[in-house]
Amino acid sequence: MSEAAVASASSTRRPRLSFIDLSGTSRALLRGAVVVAVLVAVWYAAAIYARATGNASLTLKLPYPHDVLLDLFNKWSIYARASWETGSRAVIGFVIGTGVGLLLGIVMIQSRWIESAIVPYVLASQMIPLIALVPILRAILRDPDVVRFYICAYVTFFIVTIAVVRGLKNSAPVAVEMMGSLNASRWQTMRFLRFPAAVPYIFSGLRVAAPLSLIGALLVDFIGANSGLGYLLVASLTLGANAASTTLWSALVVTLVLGLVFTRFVAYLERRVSFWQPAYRAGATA
Amino acid sequence: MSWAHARRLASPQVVAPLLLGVLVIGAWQAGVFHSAFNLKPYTVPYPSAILAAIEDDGDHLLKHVAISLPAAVIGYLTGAGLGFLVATALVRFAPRLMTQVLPVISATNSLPIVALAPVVGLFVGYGLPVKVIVVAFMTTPVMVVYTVRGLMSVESEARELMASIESTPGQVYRFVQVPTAMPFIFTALKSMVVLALIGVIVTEAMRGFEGLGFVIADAMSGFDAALAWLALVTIAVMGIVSYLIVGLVERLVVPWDAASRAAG
Repeated sequence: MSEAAVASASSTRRPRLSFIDLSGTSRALLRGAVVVAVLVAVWYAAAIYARATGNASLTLKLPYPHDVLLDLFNKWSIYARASWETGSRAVIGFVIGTGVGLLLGIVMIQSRWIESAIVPYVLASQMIPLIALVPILRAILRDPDVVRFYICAYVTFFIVTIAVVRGLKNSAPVAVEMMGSLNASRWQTMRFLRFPAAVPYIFSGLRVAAPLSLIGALLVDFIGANSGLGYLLVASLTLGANAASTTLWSALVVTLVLGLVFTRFVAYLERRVSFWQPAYRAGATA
Repeated sequence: MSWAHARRLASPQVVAPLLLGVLVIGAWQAGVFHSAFNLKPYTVPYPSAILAAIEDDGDHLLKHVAISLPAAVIGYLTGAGLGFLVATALVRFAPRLMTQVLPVISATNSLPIVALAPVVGLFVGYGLPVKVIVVAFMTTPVMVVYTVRGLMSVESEARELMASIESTPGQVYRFVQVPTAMPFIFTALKSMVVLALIGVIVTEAMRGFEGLGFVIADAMSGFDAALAWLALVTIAVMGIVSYLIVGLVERLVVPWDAASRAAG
């Protein structure tokens, strides 16, 4: 949102390139393509340099991008299954966490006592890397899938709760007064005023929570699980000899793409759910 | 005055969280959670056991703090410095490039950057450097995005005033843009604290033989739950204290904003 503000602020000063007037989406796609092209070029340059030095171990550690692509193509079923194992758990945990966070947030704003009892802990949890809980949860719950659900839900619900409380309390006082003058019930005020006003806050929380829940699931893979993308990453370091570094790079690429898709999907949902927001209505290119 | 002071202490803001904390810890010590969720003391120790662990493992733990903390701090400062430099370079010298690059940089926030840790470790090993690099990777984009936002949010009146007194771009940057950006920069610095700790802990828990992340993973697999929980509490304290320190520095550096925020 604010990046868009920054972008538009600076674009007013520069002359428009009128001959290629791209729409927002195609401009974003073009930008993505340029980024990928630059990354691949840098990667090729580094790989060629590694081979030029004649350093065998460096050559082994840094495969060509096309090697990785080939590896992804040949062993796609492995990567697809690992992505599913990590990604689906992260999404389910994320959804559970969102639900719990919404409920808790709504409960919290009903009473000053409940709110002031819980808020300091919720805030403190923002400053604590909850990810450190993974090894402990792993010992308590045993099943890696259950740990993934828990940790993803846990990370999400804290962030969502804060966002909900902030959003629900942030309705314009004038609007609240108007609802009062219309004799609106508590529920009606919630339904028609407070909740819609909170939606942008909730989504900005969700955009923060999405990559964190994926990190949580990855960390479960890293330590103790024997499935998922994180496991592929670590296992390729310890188990394999030659082909392993290609697996490592492939798994890395898949993980990064998964993270991007997940967060983009949340952003897409936001556009669909809260389409009335000025940032979207004006046809902004966020 | 003391009466008002006492009244404030008795307000829900102070009493309610303390009450909840005491209740939860008391119930935990009394074994309520253990019987309700069928938890075992060797995975979830009682608070008294965690306290007792300070005496047994305190020194051991401090040694690992001395490994994790510098990694987090160096990575954090690297990320902050690098982010600030990149943001400055973009805003001052390449504003056109910036509009294209900024969305890309902010998109990296949505990537699970910690997945880079094994790849970085492949090249530099599993000592201090891998943690510093991972933390810097995680924190730099946050700093860039917020600093750019801050440097760009100068009011046009201020710009016009500076132009009318024939100030150079360098002067505008120093006397107008940087002070304007300060609150934004501190927002970034605050959210980077937890990212730095996450980066260090994940890297340590994944591979390596030292640091708090390793202690938690290792202690849990050796059923030394009290030590693992103590390490968890230590990390929590580190996170909160670092956050408070950043907040304190913010009060000193940008008193005008901190005051207005407290009032609002």
